[in-house]
Amino acid sequence: MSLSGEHSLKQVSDLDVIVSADEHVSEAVEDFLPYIDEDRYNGIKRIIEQSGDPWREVFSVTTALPPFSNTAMASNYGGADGVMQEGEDKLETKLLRLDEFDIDYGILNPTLMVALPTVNNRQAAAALTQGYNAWLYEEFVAGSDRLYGAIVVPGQDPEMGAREIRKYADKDGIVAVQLGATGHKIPVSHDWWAPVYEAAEEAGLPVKYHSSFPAIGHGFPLQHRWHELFAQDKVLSHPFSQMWNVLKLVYEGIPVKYPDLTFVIQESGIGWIPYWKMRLDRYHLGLGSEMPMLDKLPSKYIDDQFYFTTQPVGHTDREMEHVAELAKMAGPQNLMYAADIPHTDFDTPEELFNPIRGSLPDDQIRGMMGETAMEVFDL
Amino acid sequence: MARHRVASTEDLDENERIIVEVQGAEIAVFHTDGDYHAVLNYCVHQSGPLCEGPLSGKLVADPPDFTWDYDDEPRVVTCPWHNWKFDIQTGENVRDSTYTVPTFETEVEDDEVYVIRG
Repeated sequence: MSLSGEHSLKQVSDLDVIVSADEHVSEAVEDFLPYIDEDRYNGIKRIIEQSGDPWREVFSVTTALPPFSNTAMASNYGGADGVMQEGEDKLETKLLRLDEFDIDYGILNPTLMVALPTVNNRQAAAALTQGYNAWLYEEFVAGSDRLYGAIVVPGQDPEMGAREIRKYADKDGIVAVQLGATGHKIPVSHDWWAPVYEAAEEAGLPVKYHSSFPAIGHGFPLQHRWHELFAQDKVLSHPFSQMWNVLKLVYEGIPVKYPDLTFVIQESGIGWIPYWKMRLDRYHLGLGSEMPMLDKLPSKYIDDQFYFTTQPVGHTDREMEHVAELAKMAGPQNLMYAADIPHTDFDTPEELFNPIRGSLPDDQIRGMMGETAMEVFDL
Repeated sequence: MARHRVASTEDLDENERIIVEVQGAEIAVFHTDGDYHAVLNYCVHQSGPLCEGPLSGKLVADPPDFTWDYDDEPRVVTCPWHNWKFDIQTGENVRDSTYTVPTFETEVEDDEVYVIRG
């Protein structure tokens, strides 16, 4: 362990632990359909089964152009070139991918199910949630001491989500709750979500918000309507989602209502964080009379209760020190490295480590690369 | 510390203020709840004329419901430039107490209001 202020880390292998705080499985509906409870969801399960295109007929996803067209992901944008399907054992494949980049632990998120807010039918949302959670736990989490899971909850039915949290909260390997970040019918700051927040706080599990390009048509329908490129959906959906969520959560006092809750913002990089903190503070100081429940600056709530996963760090045109400066401004203690494997915008550990080594003290780098995630998710 | 006369009590009705120059500094004296509160007419945000803005109460929200309630004690002055709000009794910004504006002691003697400064 290095002393605070020391700058001795030279390469990724100098780190004791690397945690990817945002890893993905590449589920298809048919993967977890067998796990949907036959007794409870008998009717809707049959309807889901009958769909030839659940991406559009159960979920309601539209994109400006075919996602990742002219790349290997066009046929399977859950994973480039079908990486998740390469091995017979998907768990084994996932672990091999972590090994390839010397990542010790991964916190798993879904791929398809981050678009859960686009499911119109409430019963379908609940059935998919129950099936996915059971599948994830049985197929990945229960059989590994390196992969950890987050319980997905449906915004369409928060009471069901709370039941799912309580069902899994005490199981080894379950370390968070995943709400999703894009396209919810009811914003994540609304009292509608109280059952989920109460259950998560009671269980001591962080709540995570993973943004989603497939849900952009629901989150930002006007912008999506005018997008001519898939790339525009991709670039805009994540930061817009998270800016809105953080704005709503903080200004409406959710960290005050749930003081023991930890919030994790995922998939939007780090560049927007200092800008947004400054902007939230600036307008709080001018218009804070609308926010009487806040007793400190918005940025202080973010410092105290929010974490951000770093991927995609962003391209700096070789001005590597910019990444270090952004990390300093965002708050290194609140950043957690994420790889986002197997998606094609994934970050190797070096993508974050190399720009910050030498610029930030060792203890902050160790925190960002894994030790903070170990604490936040109690690994 | 020197005592500087700023007004007669009859010149300063309840919930009114007077802005005077004391040793080169603009200072506002507010008359609220039978007391006198002196605040530098200077916003620490961008140097605006803080004490020329409105005086009001403020919204409060307490657990468990956090329902908005209006505390009508008139002790919040709002800078007319960017709406930063300060408590005229403590000088603290009501949103972030790490920002403060200078306040001064006051005295009343023989119907005359004084500011104590320097």
